[in-house]
Amino acid sequence: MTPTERRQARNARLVTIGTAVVLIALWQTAAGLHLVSGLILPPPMDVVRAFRDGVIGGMWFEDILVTLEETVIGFAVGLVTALVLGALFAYAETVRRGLYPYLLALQTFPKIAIAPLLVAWLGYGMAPKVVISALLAFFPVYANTLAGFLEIDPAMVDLLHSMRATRWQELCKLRLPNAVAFIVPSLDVALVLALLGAIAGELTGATAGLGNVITQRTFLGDTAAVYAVLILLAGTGLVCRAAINATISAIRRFRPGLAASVR
Amino acid sequence: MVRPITITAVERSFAVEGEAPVRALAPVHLTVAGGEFLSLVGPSGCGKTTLLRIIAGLLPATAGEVRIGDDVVRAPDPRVGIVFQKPTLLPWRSVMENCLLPVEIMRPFSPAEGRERAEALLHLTGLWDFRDRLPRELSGGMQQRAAIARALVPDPEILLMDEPFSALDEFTRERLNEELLRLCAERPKTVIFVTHNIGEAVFLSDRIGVMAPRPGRLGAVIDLATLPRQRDAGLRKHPAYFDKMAETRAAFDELLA
Ligand SMILES: Nc1ncnc2c1ncn2[C@@H]1O[C@H](COP(=O)(O)OP(=O)(O)OP(=O)(O)O)[C@@H](O)[C@H]1O
Ligand SMILES: [Mg+2]
Repeated sequence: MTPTERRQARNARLVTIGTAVVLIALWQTAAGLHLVSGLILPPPMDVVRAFRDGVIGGMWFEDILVTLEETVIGFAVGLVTALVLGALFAYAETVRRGLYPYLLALQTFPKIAIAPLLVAWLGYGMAPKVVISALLAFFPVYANTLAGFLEIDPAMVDLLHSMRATRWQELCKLRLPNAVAFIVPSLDVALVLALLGAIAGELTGATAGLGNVITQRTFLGDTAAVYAVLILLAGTGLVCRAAINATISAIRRFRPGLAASVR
Repeated sequence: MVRPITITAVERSFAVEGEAPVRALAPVHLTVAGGEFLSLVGPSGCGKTTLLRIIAGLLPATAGEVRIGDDVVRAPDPRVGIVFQKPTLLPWRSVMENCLLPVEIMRPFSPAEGRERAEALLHLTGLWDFRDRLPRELSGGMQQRAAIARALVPDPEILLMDEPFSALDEFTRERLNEELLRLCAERPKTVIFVTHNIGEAVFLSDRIGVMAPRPGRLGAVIDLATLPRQRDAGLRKHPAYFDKMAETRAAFDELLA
């Protein structure tokens, strides 16, 4: 790092920390002077207390697990469905084109809107949350899988043809590794969407989960707890990203070239 | 025994929507003797790549046929190696792994033997120290050398090269030209070499086929048998070299007039 770059990095860090300090100070002032009702903006210390009781004290332990489980299952289901359909449709051109209008309609459709219907069908348990979560996680992975299988340098296809590669060899040696580079960057978007789907499902109707905590506490007027859950969710999103980044680094260590075109 | 390549009345047109089809190749007749090094020279769009792809069995001809020895080409022949205009290395494989790709796919010999050949060729092309690097970590010239090494690993009887050095500077190109002749001398093989560069064609070849566009066709074929057999840097200063360059250029002027 040159001195200029180092100075820039330090200043950026100052801006980050400064923003937090200013926001918390404003928050404390506004809440402390009762400029805003405590129902809308509880004092920071109340939120810290709620966070401590809920997260560290273990009051929300069950809920955290439920939301995580829904997210992970939804992500996994969406991911596997997207990979399989993406790979199949890459080869079945007629089917892909025929179904394209429906997939496009489903992709652009605000999927959260069907949450109440799913809860009515599937009950208050995990099932409807997993479905929405999977539906949301599906599309970014599906689009990138399709692109990964189809957007291949034609010269590379020629190269494999010139060696008389079988379709199976072409899949294993060219299309799959090519697709990995496309798919991996879509994973963190998909994971964050899976979390969004789980929460949206819980907000609609649930007996457990962080979304349910939000609904309950809002109803009770315990705004501090709601803020604490929101902070927890922000942290969860960051953890999801970190998990995907760790996966990418693992691929990079295992097969440097495979991750070469990733980011 | 290295088989000759016989090209008989090969034509190719491409359908263009809403227009008359493009005639990429008017009937081409050409015989390349077994073990011969033949260059195809011509301006952009004269059908050089099209002809090479037809010979490789990657593109069907609209009419006519290509034979390798007695066999009509209908699909790629495993004894034919190709070097494309771009290096076309798989970006997720190291240089060594790229060179092993033809061994994995065609299994011309045992994996151990294939690895031995790849190692030898990486030494010959000066890429040994880079064998574990990824293609993007190599310069353009090194990538093209890796592509040539890869094509040579299965010990092809016929080598088709489509402007392999066109993206390189003059110095690198000249060095790789000399290297290529050394590599080809390893075992007799028939080479068809496409280029834009007349000097390169004269330096490398036994004969040069001069091509012209609209429609793509083969004009004169220039014989370089009178050039000194010794093809090294000295040849580029030899008067006969300049004579042959002038002769090739004259053939172009006549063809394009
Ligand atoms: N797949 C294709 N579809 C339509 N037209 C094509 C196709 N391939 C080649 N052509 C046309 O055929 C003609 C010859 O193309 P070709 O690529 O063989 O030329 P070339 O001599 O290799 O040119 P260059 O030196 O620029 O590589 C061109 O007019 C080109 O537009
Ligand atoms: Mg070309």
